[in-house]
Amino acid sequence: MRWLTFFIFLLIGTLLDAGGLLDIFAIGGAAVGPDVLITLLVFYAVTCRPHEAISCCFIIGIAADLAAGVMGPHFVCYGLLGTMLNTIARSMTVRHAVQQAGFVFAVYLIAEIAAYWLNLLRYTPNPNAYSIFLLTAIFSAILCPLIWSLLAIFSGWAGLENTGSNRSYY
Amino acid sequence: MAGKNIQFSTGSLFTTWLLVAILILCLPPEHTGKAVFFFQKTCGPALEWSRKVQLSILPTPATEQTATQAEYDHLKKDFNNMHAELLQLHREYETLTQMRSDLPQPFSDNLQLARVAGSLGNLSHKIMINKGDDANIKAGQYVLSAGKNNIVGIVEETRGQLSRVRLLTDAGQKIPVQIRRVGVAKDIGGLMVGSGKTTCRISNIDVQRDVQVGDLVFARSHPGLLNTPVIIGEVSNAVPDEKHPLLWDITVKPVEDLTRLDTVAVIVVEDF
Repeated sequence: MRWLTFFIFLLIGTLLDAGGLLDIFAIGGAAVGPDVLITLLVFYAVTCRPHEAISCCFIIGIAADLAAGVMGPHFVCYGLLGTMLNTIARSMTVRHAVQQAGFVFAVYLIAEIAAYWLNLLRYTPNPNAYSIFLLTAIFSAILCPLIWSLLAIFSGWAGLENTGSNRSYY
Repeated sequence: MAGKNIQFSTGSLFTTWLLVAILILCLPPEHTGKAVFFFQKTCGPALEWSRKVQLSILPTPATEQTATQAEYDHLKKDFNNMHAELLQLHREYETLTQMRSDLPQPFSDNLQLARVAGSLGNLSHKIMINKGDDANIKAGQYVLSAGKNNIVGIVEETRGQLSRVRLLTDAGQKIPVQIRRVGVAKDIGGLMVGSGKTTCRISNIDVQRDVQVGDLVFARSHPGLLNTPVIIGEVSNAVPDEKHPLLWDITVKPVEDLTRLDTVAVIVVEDF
């Protein structure tokens, strides 16, 4: 895996999430758009070898915290979930778009709800948090195959190989 | 040479990362917030550009008829603010004629214009603006929309040339308000909280109090910070609370669409 390309993808994803550019896909006044970093998390968690996946997931967590404006919750949750996902993905194939979308949907919901609970230690609860999470998870899952395909196209350049199947890295 | 031979096992690598993550989570937000401000400052131009692209792509009500409506709304907001100011002046004039009156200062004397540099996440309703400590902006100061007509939020944190503003609709936002109706001299005080969506809520008001859809909601004046009440929005729904039927559950729709803010003005108070 080439770290430079990972950081380029990460920067693009963070800017897209933080800048709210993808909110143009939001429905009505909900102001809820898809999340790119979660697809990046799932992609690197299932395609990288364990050493790299662990570091990637924690770093993506830092980026998600920067985009959200609160440091810590995503760092912990993305790291933990990404590592778990990497362990799970060793015994299964994530090839089809539906599987990818399903993973993104589930991982986003779990990660964001866990991060939200950690946030509650300091901040006021948002009564609409769960509906926002659900909408964002759906949006992210819908957009996931497209982002995944782009990442897969550049995967050779990124130092990953055969991203549609089980990990076969170099 | 020796550094190249250092090998972490997967377990120790994971543990190290996790400990660092927990440490950062436990650090006070004042310290970790520096990283967020650094990111916003470094990537400011890119974030600002993406916000402009977003605003230009999102549909805008730009027909001839809505332009006239917008002008009408603008004048209506001006009228409501002036009316509120008039009431305040009248009250002060009657009660404090023998004393030096703390007349409302024109906001334009101490306004600091700032551009919206970015927003923070889907969950929180916060924006970053491109003025901070350097422009004498401090936490707690009120933020108006660019037209200087209505309150849109309160400064939460400032650092260097950036500030973070918590919008009215943020779930953590609490602001003392007054509900008024044009032509009626009675004020109903309350505490407005953000709903986390596009509206705000006011609770803990007795259903005996006369509150109707269309009543205006003003930010309550605060000595030193806000000399006169300033309009926030209007009551869009008022029903008895499901859990506490003797209290109103009031929904407030802000005057301004807070997702489309581009330029704002902070009411800067020198001695704050």
